Amino acid sequence: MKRGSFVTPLLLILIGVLFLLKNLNPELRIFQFVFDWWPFLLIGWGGLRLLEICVAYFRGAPLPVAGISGGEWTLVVILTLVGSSVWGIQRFSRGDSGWLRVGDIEFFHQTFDYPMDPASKTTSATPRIVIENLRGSVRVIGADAQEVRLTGRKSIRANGSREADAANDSTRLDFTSTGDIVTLRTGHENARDARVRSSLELVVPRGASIEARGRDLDIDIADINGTVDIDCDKAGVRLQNIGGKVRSELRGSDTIRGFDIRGDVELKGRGRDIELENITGQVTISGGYSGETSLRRIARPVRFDSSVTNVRMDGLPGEMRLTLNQLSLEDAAGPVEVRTKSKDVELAGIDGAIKVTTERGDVAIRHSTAPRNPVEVEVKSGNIDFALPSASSLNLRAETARGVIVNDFNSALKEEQSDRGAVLSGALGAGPEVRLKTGRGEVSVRKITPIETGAQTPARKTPVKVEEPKTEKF
Amino acid sequence: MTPFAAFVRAARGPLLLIALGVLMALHRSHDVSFTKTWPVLLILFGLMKLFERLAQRQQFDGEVQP
Repeated sequence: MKRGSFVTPLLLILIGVLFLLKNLNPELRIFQFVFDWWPFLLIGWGGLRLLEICVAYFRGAPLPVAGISGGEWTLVVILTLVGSSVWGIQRFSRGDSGWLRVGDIEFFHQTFDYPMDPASKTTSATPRIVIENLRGSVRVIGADAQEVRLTGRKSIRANGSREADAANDSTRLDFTSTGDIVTLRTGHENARDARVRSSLELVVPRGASIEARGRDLDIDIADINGTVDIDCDKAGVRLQNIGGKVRSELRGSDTIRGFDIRGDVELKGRGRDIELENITGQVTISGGYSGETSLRRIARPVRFDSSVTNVRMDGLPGEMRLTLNQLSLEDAAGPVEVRTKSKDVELAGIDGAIKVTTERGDVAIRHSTAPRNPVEVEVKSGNIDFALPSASSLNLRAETARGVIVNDFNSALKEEQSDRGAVLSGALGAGPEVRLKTGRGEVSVRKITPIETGAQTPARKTPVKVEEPKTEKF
Repeated sequence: MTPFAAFVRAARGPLLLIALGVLMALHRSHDVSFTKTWPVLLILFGLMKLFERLAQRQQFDGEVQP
């Protein structure tokens, strides 16, 4: 007579108990427990089976041919694959938020905090400070000091305090100064599996220059006269009152904010939002940014280059806002050059020549004073709206290959209808050349309304207002 | 087949399972990665096969039964 194994019923009971516990007390992290300790399930399972076989052998009872049947092996393989892949996921996800949700299962690692001993290094008035911190935050403040003062703390997410202690020991801060260079390394790469984040706060001499490198950092730098150089995979950057050049290369920034920077600003890489205000130097932005780029009060030339948009201007006393589908530029010093693939472009109060090239999108240009510089707009598909004071002089040629032309300056400009499009040309006194051309869409050359000239600031609302005079004409 | 040989054969599965559990537990505690230790299972399997043969050899040496 062959007796069945104990193991299968025991497994069923175990699973039942686990689910019951979970149902009775949802707070309990049963699944986490199971996923952490399942190898011991295998050991227990094998041990029980071995015990059974031993008992059968010594009693002289018939032995099974295989201690573990084919079906059981299949189950073991599945359990192993699932269990080890969960570890893999956990290791990847031990990143920012501290938990991961897969279906209804949460995986947690505890976070342990370690304070850092305050430290300081005496330096010259203009030191170069190199900060290497893989993850966490860096906060630098310039002060009237002759030393670099450091405070901070470390938070380590690990699987228990023993692992966290080990990670803390292996990531001792390296804070050294040689000559004019102060180096600060958090040594996170020495922690093998625990995720370490260091929050560093530095008070530095006002003349300091900062160089920060890391993988995932929040960087906040204020009140220094030196340069700032940031090289990071993922970062949030906030700079305020910087005297020198700012250069940053980020592979995935969240937000870059810069206020009151007296040097040039050069931003490279990919990210979401950029906000720059009151920059005395030149601004150069290149890369891909998915959010909103907003620039205000830039004293020197601005260059923005992404794969689909290029914007150039000589200065920006006003404001530029750039999103994925819109560019609005108000009160900029020309020559202004915009080249884009698929965006609505609005320009207002531009002092200087304008050149806009776009494939899809509407272009609106508003001159609140008589234009003095040439304008050239070329659109493949989209409307062009050109508004100017009634007492303007210019030499106009507006054409649409497919669409109509709306002309507010009736008598002086001559309209010729072609096959499906129209051309409007003529001169109003002796003025700059204005070339407006669209492949498909409406071109309107109209007098600017008092509302538009009076309320120049809300540039984003203009498309609605622009439509009004047009509809009145029909 | 002697009862002992049958015992060795039956115990093979549970022992392998225990070994797998131990290796996984070691992997979990991050001491030794399973990607490095898996050949242990092969060695264990081979050893047990060998042991089974030896147990069977005893049978042929000592008994005349087929």
